[in-house]
Amino acid sequence: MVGALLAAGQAVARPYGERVTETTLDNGLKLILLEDHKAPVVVFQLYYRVGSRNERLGYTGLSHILEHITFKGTETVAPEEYSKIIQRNGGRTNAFTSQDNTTYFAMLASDRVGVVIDLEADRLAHLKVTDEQFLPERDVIMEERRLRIENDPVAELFEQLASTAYAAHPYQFPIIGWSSDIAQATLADVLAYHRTFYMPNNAFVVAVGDFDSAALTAKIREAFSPIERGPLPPNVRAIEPAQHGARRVELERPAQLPFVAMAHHVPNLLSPDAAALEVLSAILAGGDSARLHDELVYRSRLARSVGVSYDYTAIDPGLFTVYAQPLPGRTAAQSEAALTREIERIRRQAPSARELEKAKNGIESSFVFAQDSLFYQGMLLGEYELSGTWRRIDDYLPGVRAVTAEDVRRVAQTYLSPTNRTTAVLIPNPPIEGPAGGTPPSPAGID
Amino acid sequence: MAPPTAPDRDSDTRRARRRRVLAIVACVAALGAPLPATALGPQVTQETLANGATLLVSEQRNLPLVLIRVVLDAGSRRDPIGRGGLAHLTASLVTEGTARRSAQQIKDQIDFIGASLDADAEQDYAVLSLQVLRKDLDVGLDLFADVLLHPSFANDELARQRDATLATLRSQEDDPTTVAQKAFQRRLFGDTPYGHPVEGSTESVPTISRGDVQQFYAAYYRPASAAVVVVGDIAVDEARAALLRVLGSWDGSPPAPFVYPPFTPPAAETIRIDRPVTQAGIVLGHLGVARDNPDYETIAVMNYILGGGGFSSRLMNSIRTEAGLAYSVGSFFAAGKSPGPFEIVMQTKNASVADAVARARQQVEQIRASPVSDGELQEAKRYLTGSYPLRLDSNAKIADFIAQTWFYGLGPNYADVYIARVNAVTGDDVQRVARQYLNPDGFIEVVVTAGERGTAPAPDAHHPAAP
Repeated sequence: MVGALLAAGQAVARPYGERVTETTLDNGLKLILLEDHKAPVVVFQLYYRVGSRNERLGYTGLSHILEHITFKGTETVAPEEYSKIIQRNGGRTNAFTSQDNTTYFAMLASDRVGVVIDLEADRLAHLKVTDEQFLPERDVIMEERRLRIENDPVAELFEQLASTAYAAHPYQFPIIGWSSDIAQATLADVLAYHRTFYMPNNAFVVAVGDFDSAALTAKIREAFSPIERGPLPPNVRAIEPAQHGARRVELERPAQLPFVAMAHHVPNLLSPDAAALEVLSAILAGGDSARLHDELVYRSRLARSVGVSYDYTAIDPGLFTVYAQPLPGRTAAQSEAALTREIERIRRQAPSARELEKAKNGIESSFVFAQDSLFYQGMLLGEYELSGTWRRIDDYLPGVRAVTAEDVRRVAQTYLSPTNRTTAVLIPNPPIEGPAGGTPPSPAGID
Repeated sequence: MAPPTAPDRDSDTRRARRRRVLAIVACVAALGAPLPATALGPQVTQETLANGATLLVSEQRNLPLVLIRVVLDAGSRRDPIGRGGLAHLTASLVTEGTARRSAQQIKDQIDFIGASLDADAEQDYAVLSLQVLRKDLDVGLDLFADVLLHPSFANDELARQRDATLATLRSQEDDPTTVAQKAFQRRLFGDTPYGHPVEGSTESVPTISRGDVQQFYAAYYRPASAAVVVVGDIAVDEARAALLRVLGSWDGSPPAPFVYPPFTPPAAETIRIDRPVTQAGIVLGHLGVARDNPDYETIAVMNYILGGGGFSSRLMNSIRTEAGLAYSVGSFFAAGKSPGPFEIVMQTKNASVADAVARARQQVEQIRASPVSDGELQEAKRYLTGSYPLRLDSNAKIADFIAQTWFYGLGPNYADVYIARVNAVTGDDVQRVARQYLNPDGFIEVVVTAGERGTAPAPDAHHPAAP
């Protein structure tokens, strides 16, 4: 049972430091285990420290292609059999690639967790793929790019935003890769990539759920110990230089509505300013009463949606992005002007004590609500571990609580400056005529 | 932001919603009686309140939070003809101002305690949800009850929600799969209750008046046909007392029972909609089954093998793994209180449409023509039964499960019933339901793709041009 109230009137679940067990095997594979016995289920996640951050021009998307290819079998497991084995054991499995990592996961009933452990060890040591499986899978990834990017104007805009905001750092690359890079990728590229990055000492396991940590550790040790550590891949040494002047990119393509996004280079959780940036994010967009929604959506009725994203746990400094989608009949320019006004307001004047308190309450309750999900707790441990150590999770709420109103204003002043900004605007061209919107109301009455 | 990319190995993108005809078991009790013990399902206490509402409480002490959901017989199936979107607008307006609080005051007070308060409509029902820290329960409940009992439906808030809905409808036109699904739904169900999107259409939404909303609310937001689900850090007695305190004045007779008007499903048809896309959105299907169909669990086994089982499914194997034609492909039966659709949904580059559709049709033919292998049958049964705990591994999922089993009248021990029924399915059963409920000769086939003539104006989705 967790959920002890540590401070009067404050709901804070027990610190992760008291609940997590950490072990490192001789070959360098780290295990981060969190027992949570509320349901007879285990979430198992295997993180490799490789993502689009590790890629280079002409070879973008390789991390993601490899993620697909690892499901194509080993010396003893047939192509796509991995998923079938997990499913026939009543489990669900998937994987995802992001900027900093590639993560494989399965959710199973407690007594079946050994199945995924054996499968993961097997495909780390014995991946076996031929062109017969590789070529159709490359086509599948082309379809995935069409689905995620080409058929989604906003996703394509965010791709343009990143590629404009960064000059020197691989965070400029789309995670799925540029289309021409995917089309030219070869099986040899992918297998070399596997050899370079997939090794126990470049990976860690996160498990959350209904297990005994000592028993699970023994199981993982038994499966993974025979796999030797490898030479660690080269560090990513790219450092994005400071930006001294506004950048702007426009995307003209068929779309129903315009969109505007404004990205700023900001530090990650390793910086003392990170907690204040989190609070700033909540003040701007932490709920429907937050400033951007209240101003752009509610009062001036310019936008159908607004938001902020802050790459708090990115390994290297990421972006603080403010965005809006105009309502039909409104323009991107109006939303951009309103976003700029709100940014300037918080840069000039610190928020009120009550607004600060509201933002912190929202952050704190989100942190507690998120613990309802075993999977999310695993993701949280994983993201923190990637950017340093999972132990920093316990510094999150105290750090947020310590932020002052002036801290919020100061970080807004420092980082949300026009010269540190990249603005991306989606311009619908040609505007698509959907079903006509101007049909006269039908005279049919209502009883 | 751009989400991390994954090979979507769980391709059942729209899990068929668990639905069944309601069998009201009124156990009018002053005190809650724990329902029969269940091996798998959550422990729930059920009772009927004086106003007719069903109270369902599941004590879960693992985190200091409480979830409350009111399930109402106020879904879009209740929309009058020509007023599609009324249920959705009513739900979205409930939280936008009351007799005592403005929309902005409600949002501010909810945000200040870090809670969330949302109302949403589905086809069959509407749900008002509160998620709140245990320490703020009283404040959260006051807000929750205020929006449920005293919404003001102010005209300017109606205008805002109408604009927001029209913007959503507009934005959906960017996605070829959504365009295909809407055209499919319209063609299959026509003017009957499942024939329009929950959000309505660009024609219907502007015609909805404040009077329409007030009437809809008065008719369907009634306790006698509602359930209040409480899950979290709270005892049954506490939950009852708290809800009686705030919902004491909620009253009203049950609404008129819903009757789906008889209709004849349309004959097979191919619909092409022209859009400037590189990848087509494709929907194939026809009328499916209702949630109370006695074959529901057998159909679940059959559909897992056909297209519901991700990488274990035949559609995924044929269209993605073998041919590389699609990233995502799957099939589902959306079983409602009334029969919903059976659909196969996929996306492929424009040039591959004919190939992908042919492969999908071939798989449907095959599962009807010959029995599935014993391995496939066992795999399906082991997944469907073994993964059941994953449906109940968080308080949010438990609350959803309780709400759905109540609304569809599945019974308090449905988790155990489901497992037993799935385990009893035989290979002959699978072939029988494939033959009975799948008919490739009757498919409505909708493809949204770039026409060879370039990008001519798209036909109105309501009157697609037959080729």
